[in-house]
Amino acid sequence: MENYLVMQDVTKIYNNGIIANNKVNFSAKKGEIHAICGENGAGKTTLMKMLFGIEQPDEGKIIINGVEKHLNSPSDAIKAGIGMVHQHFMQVPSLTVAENVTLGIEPTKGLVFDKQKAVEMTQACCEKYGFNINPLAEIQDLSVGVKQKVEIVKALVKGCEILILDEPTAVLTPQETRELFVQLKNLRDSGCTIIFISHKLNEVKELCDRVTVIKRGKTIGVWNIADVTEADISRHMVGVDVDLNIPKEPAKPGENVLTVKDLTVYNEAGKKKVDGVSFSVRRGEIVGIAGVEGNGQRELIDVITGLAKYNYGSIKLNGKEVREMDIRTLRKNGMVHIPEDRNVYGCALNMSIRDNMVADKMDDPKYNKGVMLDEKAIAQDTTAWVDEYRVLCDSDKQLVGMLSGGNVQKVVVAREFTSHSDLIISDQPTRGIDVGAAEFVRSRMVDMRDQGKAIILISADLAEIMSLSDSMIVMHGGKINGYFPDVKHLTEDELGFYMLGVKHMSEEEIREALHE
Amino acid sequence: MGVWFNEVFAAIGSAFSNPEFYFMIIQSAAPILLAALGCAVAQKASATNMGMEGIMTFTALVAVLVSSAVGATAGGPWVGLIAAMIVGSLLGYLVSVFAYRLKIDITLVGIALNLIATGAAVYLMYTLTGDRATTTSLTSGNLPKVFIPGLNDIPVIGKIFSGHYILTYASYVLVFVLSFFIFKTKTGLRIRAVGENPNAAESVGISSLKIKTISLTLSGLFGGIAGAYMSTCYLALFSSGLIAGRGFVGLAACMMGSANPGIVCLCCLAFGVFYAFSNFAQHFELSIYALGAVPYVVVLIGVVLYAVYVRKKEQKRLKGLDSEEKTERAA
Repeated sequence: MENYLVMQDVTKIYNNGIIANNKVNFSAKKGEIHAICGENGAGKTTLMKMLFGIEQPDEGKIIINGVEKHLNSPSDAIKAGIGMVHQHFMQVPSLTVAENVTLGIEPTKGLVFDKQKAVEMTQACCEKYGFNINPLAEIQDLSVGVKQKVEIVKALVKGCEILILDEPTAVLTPQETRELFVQLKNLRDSGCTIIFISHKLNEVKELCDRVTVIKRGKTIGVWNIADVTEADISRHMVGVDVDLNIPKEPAKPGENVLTVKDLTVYNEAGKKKVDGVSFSVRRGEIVGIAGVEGNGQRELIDVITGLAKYNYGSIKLNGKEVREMDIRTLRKNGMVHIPEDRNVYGCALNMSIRDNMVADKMDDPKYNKGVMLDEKAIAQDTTAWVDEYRVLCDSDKQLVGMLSGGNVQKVVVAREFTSHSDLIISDQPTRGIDVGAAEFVRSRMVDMRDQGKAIILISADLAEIMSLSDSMIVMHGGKINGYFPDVKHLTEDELGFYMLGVKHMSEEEIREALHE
Repeated sequence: MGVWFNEVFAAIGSAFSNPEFYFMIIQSAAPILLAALGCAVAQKASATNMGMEGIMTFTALVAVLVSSAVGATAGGPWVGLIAAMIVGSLLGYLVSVFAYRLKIDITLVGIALNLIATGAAVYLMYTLTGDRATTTSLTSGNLPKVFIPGLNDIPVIGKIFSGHYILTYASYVLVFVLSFFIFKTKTGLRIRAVGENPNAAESVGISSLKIKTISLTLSGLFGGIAGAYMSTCYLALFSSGLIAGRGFVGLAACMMGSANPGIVCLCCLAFGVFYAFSNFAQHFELSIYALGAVPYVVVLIGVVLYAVYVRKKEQKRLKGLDSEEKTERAA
């Protein structure tokens, strides 16, 4: 059969120089469900944004039904028959289903919104495709599963021929997922082309007809789903290009510094994000936490660092409950934190390097003279740290905002590593920084480990997490899915299986992460 | 102290047994209501119009100047009202341009507008009349009062509801008009959609910039009516302290009523009670300064209570979340 949609040699380079898509090829036939799989940052979302007119490709063509299209906005895409179900629903909570569905194409009687007609349109669409939704219900009273159906109806009512679903099952219960799949298959049979983005390979296997794998902005290949196993897909998705080869001795773990026991965390929407997690981190080891984004790592780190509150279970830092400490006290008890977003949480961009470096040490008597700060003592240390951490700058009085990403990160690392600490939490420590700076940060982390600090490393860079960690925890669906006491014996394929939930360890094996 | 209390109770007692007091409530709530409705239409699009006070100040002067230029007896106040509405809309539009096209924080735009409008109004008044305090030298006149036939003759009711300025009646009618606009028209639907989730609106091709511009311009229109009310109904002149915070009180009422015109109207009437009382009780042996502060104190208390209410609601929601977890654990 002819390809209905063709995206040919599509390239997208963002303003910051990141190449999100590099000559990606993607095509889909009429009446098929086509999966796109790839790691975080592989470029799936960018590709779909270009198809839906949110971003414009720098090179390449988008051809729909034999005609080349230039999609400059979502309205263009909608006109071209493309509908998208976003991961975060694009809905107005206080409006009814009918109002949400017809928003943008509102039926009117003169100036007045024709509610009756809107309800009829919604009803007709629901009946045609077999959705069971009350058009008069308000969105805020609906469950997530129904909201998602509304989102699909919203696209269908505008006559879409191509439906993009961006990780649609991430928010659904298993029952809701099953129901969704039945409906998607019906849609396919009625001639709709469905693009299904997911990390859940079992779902891809169950639902889709073909799968395209994207890695680091490039198309790896297209397969008929019948010809590949979940393990095959996983192997194509994951896979490390370079060995970072960080010189380090085997770890000599000491006593527990951080102990997390039966931790359960809910997010603001009341969804369970961390589910009964237990592990501990010992002196002199780097524990990596791996997992596909959105499997609870973010929430786990937020509660350990005191940025968010946890509902059940306990987190003990040097024997003291984290819940009972504010962040200042937490730091006094030996926790330091390199946050994921250095520009928001990591430092004050419009303050100097010097001020940023002492920001957490201001009340140290060493830096105070009566009620005044002892500028001399501060300058002496910060200039030394600028040298030690190889921050490229004119002087330590330069504003942090003027530095490149890698140097900003070095300032953050310098501040955190020069504080007294027992536990270092490194959240994406090398994301988006140049190779040299990344290498430097990594080797400092190994130094800190050898000095007997306990380190948690979270990284989306599998090469980094595999070569830097001594032991590793893999999170999937808010739970620990696997614990590897020695990363040396772990292969990347194996890691991929656990990250994507293809394989699970037994309760006993996972319990070992607690080191009791 | 005891004497003071007695005076207060006497004032309250005499106020609530006097039809004139109720008349005054309706009268003094009207300009606040107009301001609040103006804030509400902008607030529905999640644009907080902090500049309402400034819009009212400037348009109040515009109404007086135009009215006296046309002639108080030659329909001047009407032309003044229309001029105030046009200038108000322009100012509202200007707020949207600064806030959403030039991307300046809308609160700052509002504060700047308030400062500039007050200064500009006094400057303009001084240049044109040579007087810095009021426009008493101009004869600008009032909009007409309406005595409703039939209603007028009913004893107590007539005294309360008949004989208001035409704009007073209009302001209460506008509650229904605005309700209809926000909840029944296509544009109203889009305003609400943009206010609650601009991404959702954008994703179906609605320009949130356009919608916010429309709602802020409308907000300015209401501000213009409110300003004209103050200088052609409440008084027949403009003075530098004429608006006296009514724009801000309107904004507070809009917030407390969640920008829903009906509830906003009730909040304004509640504030009106205290405005009326502070006027009414001047016949008694009470400090006029303390009395003058009463409405503002009440607004402050009202806003605090509202904030507490919102927080309680949020806590309740979180508690629900907690108990859900407990039942799940027990199961």
